[in-house]
Order: sequence, then structure tokens, then C-alpha cells
Amino acid sequence: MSTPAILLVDDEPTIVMSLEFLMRKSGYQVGIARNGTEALAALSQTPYDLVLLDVMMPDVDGYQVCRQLRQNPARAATKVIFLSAKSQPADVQKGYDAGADLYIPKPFSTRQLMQKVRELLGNE
Amino acid sequence: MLFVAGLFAVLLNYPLLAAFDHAGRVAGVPVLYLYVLLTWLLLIGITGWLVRGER
Amino acid sequence: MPQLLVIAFSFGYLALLFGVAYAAERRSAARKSLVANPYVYALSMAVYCTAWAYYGSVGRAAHQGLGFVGIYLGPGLLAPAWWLVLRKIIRVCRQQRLTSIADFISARYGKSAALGALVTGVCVLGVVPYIALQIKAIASSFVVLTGGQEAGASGAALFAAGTLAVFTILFGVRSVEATERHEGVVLAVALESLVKLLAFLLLGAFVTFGLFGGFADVFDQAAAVPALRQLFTLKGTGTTGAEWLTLLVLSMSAVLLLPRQFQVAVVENVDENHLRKAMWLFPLYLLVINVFVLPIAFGGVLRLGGRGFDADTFVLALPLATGHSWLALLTYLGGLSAASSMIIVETIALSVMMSNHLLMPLLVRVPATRPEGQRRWFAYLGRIALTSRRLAVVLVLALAYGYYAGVGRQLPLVNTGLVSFAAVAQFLPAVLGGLYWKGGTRRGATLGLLAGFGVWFFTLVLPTLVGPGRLPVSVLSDGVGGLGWLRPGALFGLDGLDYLSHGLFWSWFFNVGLYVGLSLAWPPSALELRQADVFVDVFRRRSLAEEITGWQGSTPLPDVRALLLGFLGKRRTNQALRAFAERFPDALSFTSDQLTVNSSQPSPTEQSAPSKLTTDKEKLTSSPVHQFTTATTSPPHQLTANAADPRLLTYAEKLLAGTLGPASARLLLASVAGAEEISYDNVVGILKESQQLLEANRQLHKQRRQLQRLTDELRQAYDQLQVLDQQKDEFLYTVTHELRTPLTSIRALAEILADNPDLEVEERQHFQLTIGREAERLTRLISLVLDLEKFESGQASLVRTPLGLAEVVAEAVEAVAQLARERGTELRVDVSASLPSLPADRDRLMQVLINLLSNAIKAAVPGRPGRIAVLAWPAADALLLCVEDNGKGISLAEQHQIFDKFFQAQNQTMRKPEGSGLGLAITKKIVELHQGRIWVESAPEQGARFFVELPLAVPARAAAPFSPSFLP
Repeated sequence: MSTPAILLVDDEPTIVMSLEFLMRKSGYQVGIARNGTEALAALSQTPYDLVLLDVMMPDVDGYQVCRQLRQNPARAATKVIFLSAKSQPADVQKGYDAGADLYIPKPFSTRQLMQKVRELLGNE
Repeated sequence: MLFVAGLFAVLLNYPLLAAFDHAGRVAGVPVLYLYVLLTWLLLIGITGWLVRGER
Repeated sequence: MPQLLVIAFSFGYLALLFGVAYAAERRSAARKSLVANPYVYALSMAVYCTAWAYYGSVGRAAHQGLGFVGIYLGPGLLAPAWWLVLRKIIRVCRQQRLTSIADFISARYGKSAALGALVTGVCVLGVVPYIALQIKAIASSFVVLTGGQEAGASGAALFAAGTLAVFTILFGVRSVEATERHEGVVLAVALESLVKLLAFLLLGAFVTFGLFGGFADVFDQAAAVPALRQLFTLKGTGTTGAEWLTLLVLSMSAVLLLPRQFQVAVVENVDENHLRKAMWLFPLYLLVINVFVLPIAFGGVLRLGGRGFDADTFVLALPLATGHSWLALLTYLGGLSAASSMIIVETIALSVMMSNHLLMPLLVRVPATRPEGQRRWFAYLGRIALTSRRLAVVLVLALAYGYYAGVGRQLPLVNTGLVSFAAVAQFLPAVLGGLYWKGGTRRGATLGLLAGFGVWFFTLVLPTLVGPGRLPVSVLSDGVGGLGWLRPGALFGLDGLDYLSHGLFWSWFFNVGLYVGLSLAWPPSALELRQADVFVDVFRRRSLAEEITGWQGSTPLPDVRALLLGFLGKRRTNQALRAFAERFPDALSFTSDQLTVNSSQPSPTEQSAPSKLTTDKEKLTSSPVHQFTTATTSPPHQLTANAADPRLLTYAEKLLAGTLGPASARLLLASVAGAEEISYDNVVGILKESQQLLEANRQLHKQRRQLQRLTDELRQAYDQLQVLDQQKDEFLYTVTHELRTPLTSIRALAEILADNPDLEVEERQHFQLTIGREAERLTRLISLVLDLEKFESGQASLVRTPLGLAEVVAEAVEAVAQLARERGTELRVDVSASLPSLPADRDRLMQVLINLLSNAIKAAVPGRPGRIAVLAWPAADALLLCVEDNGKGISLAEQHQIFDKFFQAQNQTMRKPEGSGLGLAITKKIVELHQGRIWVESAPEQGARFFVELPLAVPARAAAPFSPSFLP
């Protein structure tokens, strides 16, 4: 089994930086997208195992990215975790409706996040 | 309508009437005669219009 | 012209009138009224234009120029007010079944029989000469037309009076109930109005355009004659302002109060809404009929002057003298129309008044002494009422003829008419006061009228009686009994007014003075109080049910029924009682078939005996006040089969008033039925109650309106609050979201540092620095939010000091220089140091500049070197500052939003590229706090220019919105 590949999508450089550190340390391959458009492009090229997806982004928002991902049968195995500052029940529901596997509000605990990442990838 | 009655009562009385009370003539007709008749006609017109408008 | 032909035409014309009247009555019986439309109504009002208008206007115009117009202008001026005054009179009369001016005044002041008689007396004395005048007009026009001698005039006059008496009796006094309208008469009168108008217009057109070359020609020729040129102006004829005003006022009151006008305008009115059309049609009629008066008068003087013609006869003499005898005949018929219609209507009105107010009050007192055989006596009275009216018609016409034959022949047409106007003008205070002032009393009205009438006689009539064989001239020159202050033409030494104005002034002076004075001095009686309420508040009561009954106690029903039977007959009585039972089902506790009077019923005398007993018992057991409340609650056991409800008495009284007049009806009911009149205290109590009810109702209405307004305001405020609340929610939501982003970084990095003690030093330092930066960002954000909150709540204050803009700009540029260098942005500043100093808060202004500059730096398009320019220049009373960049620009739609806080909140999942979203909002607040303006000019990919305008002087008033915080 090859090393799982994870795509980090966020427009906040510091968040991307910390997430990248965490993922690499856990031994995953990491891809980075700074906005929705980049994310969609990366996803169409690479069959990532997991996407950590921000919602609020300058161009295409996270929900749209997730929905488009779910429409691609070739990416059915890709897991999606939303990481968002939008934490209201309606936002969370919207995330799951878009096809997310998990929705974690910011700010999050890194330990919990890694736990969930491992769980999602382990189930594969 | 009370106002109209009052207004024309003033228009058709002294001292305003005196302003037209001179020997001049317009188109051959004495000014006073013309003034009184035309003002009167105006009053009738306004009354008719007011009454119609209230219907 | 041959006498026979003229007579034939006269009778033919009168026969036509008979036919028209007859047809109208037939149609009326078949319920297809010809009269129930506003045009007939307006035309019938034109009965105002009598033969006096027809012949006399020309006569007066020939001597006094335009003065004649006043008599027709007055009604025209008053017409717009009819909707208020005349409609009220009509409404009152319909409700109270009043049929004459005497009824009206008598009913208003406590149904006083004496007052009714007085009004009738004044009317007869004042109007009979006026009728005589019409007879004279017919007679003398006949003489002029036939070219006969004066001697023939008396015969013509007699014939005319006789024929008109027959007509009037046939069509005017057919029924005893005067509230039944006289459709035949009205239609005939309307037709006559049309005839006289057409005839006069035809003649006018003939004179103006036939004999002369149009209006201008008539006036041109008249202007050549000095005596006529004088008539062009009122000054020239010596008509003073007072005289003009007197004419207007007299005619205004006459058109309301003359018995014949009251008859056609009020009694014969079918529908109040007809008034709307009449209000302008009638004045128009008057205007049209007067257009040709002056040309005819001048034409007459020019053509016939010096031939000994009386100016009053110009109307006939002009066509005759020029050989147009058919036109003369037509004109004569017009004059006959004018005279006969006036005579007919006036006589009807007078006859009803005389019968109701002079005869009936005497007769109805009789039966009180003979209680048995009442019913027969009532029926007999009913017949007498009718007969007396017919007799009154004959009497009035006989009087008029006598007056004409005796004194009237010498009088000119106009003067008699005006004196007659002045007589009825004496009613004006009592009528208007009665309509609008509840305080007017019988005593005041009676004595006022009496005094006014006395003065009228002294100042206006007495001078006409002076002459050989009558009164000595010394009465005029030296005063009565040689007393100088008793001269009829200058009473109490009042000199300098013309005859008419003088008379009207003094008569009204005493009339109004006594009316108001006495009314204030003595309180009104119960009945007067009630009637005042009914009259003045007529529009405020919707139904008769709200009206206060004027009776208390119980009257045996059979007595009331017998009374009605006698006057109205079986059919009408049953109809009326059924109608009453339908309206007040609770008032009569027996079935309607018991109401019907059939022959098998026991006679009233047999039944009245036991019923009296029960009513006596009731009187003992129940107080008057309690009796009164039965009108509304009416427990059935109290209304035994034969006791009449007070409301029934009121109803019966009204029915009888239509026949006998209000005073007689009341007297009759009171004496015959033995009913008790309501006491003063009761009336006052009930009036107060009803006033309070009305008042309470009004208050309720007012309160409801206020509540409604309050509700609306509350709803608006609520809506506003909801909008604000939503904005607040969004704001809060966005703020927390914005706070979460740096917090996320801080927490994640802190956890990483904690969990990875073995990090390389360089990486650890990097993470620690990042944590610091993010914490700073958090702090900035919080202070921005707090700032904004301060601005929004109006608590922000400025510390204004005079600033050099160039210095502040330099400092701001210095602050962002680091950022600009990082992004490779070029910054150019062009702000002159010689700009006037700006009164502004240094720190706030700095905040604005840094914000704009950093926004401009961040707006740079990646891959293109940013260029920013800061410019400033003075404008009128202000400094303009501009920050210009070559960045990615702002779309037009966004330009409206960028100054809103958290503009991205509108589009919640899309993030604004740079900045917290608060900067421009705060910038705008600061600029506005300085009473300046900020706006942007930009287009996508074209860069942006932010403009700030700051005033050089602080306008004092503009500080108002923030003033609390400005105060030291």
C-alpha cells in the first residue's frame, strides 16, 4: 500500500503551513491548493486519498469543490474533511449535503484532526 | 365651497369692484359689465366643477 | 294688437299649463315622475325671476345701470354654500315634516304657535304687495300689448287673478297633507321658467343683433348719450358700496327664505343630490337671463326715449314699435309666465302657512272641552284644513288684487320687490341661528322678529305711504310727531345711507340684537332644547330612532288612532301605523291585524274608559324617568294592549305636522290625547346623555385612529429593528469568523510546538514568529471592531488640531513603506506643503491614510509592478485627497458595497481578497465624523481612485449628529 496522498486547500498561508507540517510528519504525501480553482485542477490530475477543504475562498468555495469532486466517479474513493470557520449547524449540514465525510469547525485540535485523518484513511 | 363663496363675495364687492368701475370699454363693452359677468361665470364654473369632483 | 287675440293666447297658454300640470300628476300617480330630476328642480327654482325680473330689471337698468345685477348676483354668490345651508334645511324639513318657512321657525323654537303666526303675518304683509306687483305686471303688459287704456288694466288683472286662483286650488291644494309634493305645479313652473328664459333671450338677441349691430354697437351708441354713458359705471349712477352690498345680502337671504323659494327648493325637493346640479345651473340661469338686460335697456332709451314710455315696458314696447308684434306677443307670454308662476307658488306657500298657523292653532284647542265625539270632530277638522287652504288662496289673491287696485298702481316694480325682500330677510337671524346655534330661544326669535319687522315697516314701508290723501310729507322731513330722531329715512339721526341699506341695517340691528340678547338672557324650555338639538345636529343622527321623543307617560292608543283617522283617513292611517310597527317592533305589543281599523271594532269612547284606568295605575307605579327607559327596554307587561309608546306619539305628531303644521299638531296631541309633555329635566338629561354618547363615540374614533397610527409606527420600528438585528447577526457572525482564522493558526502551531519538542530551532522560531504575527492580527481585528462599534454608537470623538496635510501624508507613507517594499510597489507623493491647515484628528486621519494606502498596495495585480500616487489639492472650503493605484480595480456593483462593514457577508462563502473587511467601513466613519465625504472611481483592471474631501472649516450645525461627544 502506497503512502496516502492528501490535498490541503486553504487560502490562509499559516494554516496551510501548519497542516503541511502535521501531514508530512505523519508520513503522508501532501498537495497544496490556495483556492478553489487550484483545488479542482489538482483533484482532476491526482487521485488524492483525502482532501482537507476550507469553505471560504476567493473564487470557488469549498462546497462547490466538494460537489464537483463527488460528480467524478474516478474520485469516488477520495475522502473529504471540511475545515471551516463557519460553524453554524446550517453550514455544517450544507457541508455534509455537498458530500463531505467529516466537518470540523475551526479552530480545531490538531490531535483530534490527525486522529480523524487516520481513521478515515485506515478504513480504506 | 364656503371659501369659494367668500372669495367671490370679496371679488364682487367694494372696494375691489371700484377698480373696474371706470368708463373704459373692452371690445365695445363697458369694463364693469364685462368684469361682473365674467367673474360670475367663473364662479358658476368653479362651483360646477367642485360639485362634480365630490361625486 | 287685437285684444281678443291676446286674450286667446293668454288663456291658451294657461290651458297648456293646466294640461302639463295634469299630465305630471297622472305620471306621478303612476310612479313615473317627470319631476324627479335635477334639471326640473333647478328650473323650478328660477321662479325667483318674477315679472319684476322680466320687466323691472330693464326698467331699473335704464335708470340705474348695472345696479340691477346685484339681485341676481347675490343668489349666485350664495349658491356654493347651499350644500351646507340649504341641504341642512332640506334634511330638517324632511325629518320633521315641515312644509313652510313658518313651520320651520315655529318648529325650531319649541313649536311655538305664536311664532308661527307671527312669521305667517310677516310673510303675508311682506309678500302680498309683491304678488300685487305681478298682477300689475300682467295687467299693464296686457294694456301695452293691446294698446288699450289704463281702464282695461283692472279687468285684465281681475281675470288673471281669478284664473290663477283656480289653477292654484286645482293643482296646489288638492290634498290636505302638504308634504305630498305638487308635481303638477313644479313641472308647470319649470316649463314657465323655460318659456320666460327663451322669450327674453329671443327679445334680447332681436334688440342687440336686429335693431343694433351687436353688443359693441349698442354700447357705442349709448356712449354717445351722456345720460346713458353715466350708467356704464356704478359711480355714475350713484350706487354706493353700501347699496350694492345691501342688494347682494338681501337677495341672498331672499333666495332662501321667500315663501315660494322655500316651497320649490325645500318642500318640493325630491332628492338632496339634485342640489348639486342646481348649485350651478340656477346661477347660470340667472346669469344668462341677465346678459341682455343692459342692451335692451339702452336700446329702449335710444329708440323710444322721450316718447313717454315707462322703462318697465321697454321689453314689450321695443318689438311693438318696430313692428314685430308676434315677437311682442311671445315676450308678453314670457312675462305672463314669470308672473303667473310666482303667483301660483307664492300663493300655495302662503295658503298653507295661513291655514296651519293662523287658523288651526285656534281650532285644535276646541275639542279639549268636548272629549266625546272626538273622531268626528277630527275628521271635520281635516276637511276644514283643506277648505281653509282653498279659502286662503282666494283670500291672498283677493288681498293682492285689492292692494294692486288700491295703492299698488303707482309703485315701480323694483322697489316693492326689494321692500318685500327686506321683510323676509327678517327671518334670516332666526333661521341661521336656529340651524347652527343651539342657544337660540323662542323668546329671542319672537321679539327679534317683531322688532325687526317693526323697524322694517317704519323705515321702508312708511315712506311709500306718504302722498296726497295719505300721510303728510312732514313725517319724512321732520320725523314722526315732529321728533327729528324719528325720521323714517334717518332713524336716530343715521344719515347718509340709502333708503334700503338704512332700513335693512336698523331692522337687522334690532332683530339680531334682541334675538341674541334675549336668547342669552333666558334659558330655553325643554321643548326648545330638544328641537334645537334636532335641528342643529340633524346630520349627526342617522335614524329617527335616535331622536328623543318629546312625550312621556302613556296615552291610550285608540285616542291616537282616532286622531290619525280623522286627518289622514283609514287607508293612510293603517299604512302609517304598519310602517311604524315595522320600524319599532317592540313599541307595539299587538299583532298588525289588530292595528287595522275595521268597522267591527268597538268605538273609541267605549274602549277609552278601561284603558284610562290602566294608564292611571301605571302613572302611579312608575316614575317619569322609568317611563322613559321603556322606550328602549320595554318590558312587555308594561305595554298593555292600549297604551301608546312615546315613540308612537312622536310619530303621530310628525304625521299630523305635515297636515296641520308643527305647532297645531303638538297642541292637538297634547290636548286631545291628554299626553304629558316631557319635563325639562328629562330633556336636559337625555340631551346630555346623547351628547355624551356622541362625544364618547368621537373620542373612540379618535383613539382608534391614534392606536392605528401607533401600531403602524410600532410595526415600522419593529421592521427596522429586525433589519438591524439581522445586520448585527451578520456582523457578529463575520467577526467571529474573522477571529477564528488567526485563532486556528495560533492553536495549531502552539499544539505543534507542544507536541514536537524535537523541532529544529529554525522551524521552531518560524512557528513562534508566526504565532506572534497571528496574535497581532487578532489584536488589530479586535481593536477595529471596537472602533467601529464606537463609531456606530456615536461615541467616537475627535480631537481636532490644525494639521499640515503634507506632513501627515508623509508619515502615513512611511508607515506602509515596509509593506510597499515587500510587494515591490512604487509610491509617489504629490502633496504641497503650502496647503491650508486642516482641522482634523491626527490619529484618525492617519488611520484613514494608512488604510487607503495599504488597500492600494494589496490591490496590486500579481506580476505587474504596483504604482501608487497620493495627490492633494484645495477645493472650495475643503481639501481633496486622492489615492490612486493601478491594481485590479473594483467593479461598479462592488463600489457601492466596499464601504459596508464585512462586505463579504453578503456573499458568505466567498472571501474578499484582502483585508479584514472593516477597514473601509471605519475609514468612511472617520471621514464622515469630520463632515467630509469619501468615494471611489474605478473599473475592473483599471486601477482605483479613492477620493476624500475634508472641510477646512467645521460647520457648526453639521456637528449635530455627534454633538454629545463633541462637547468638552
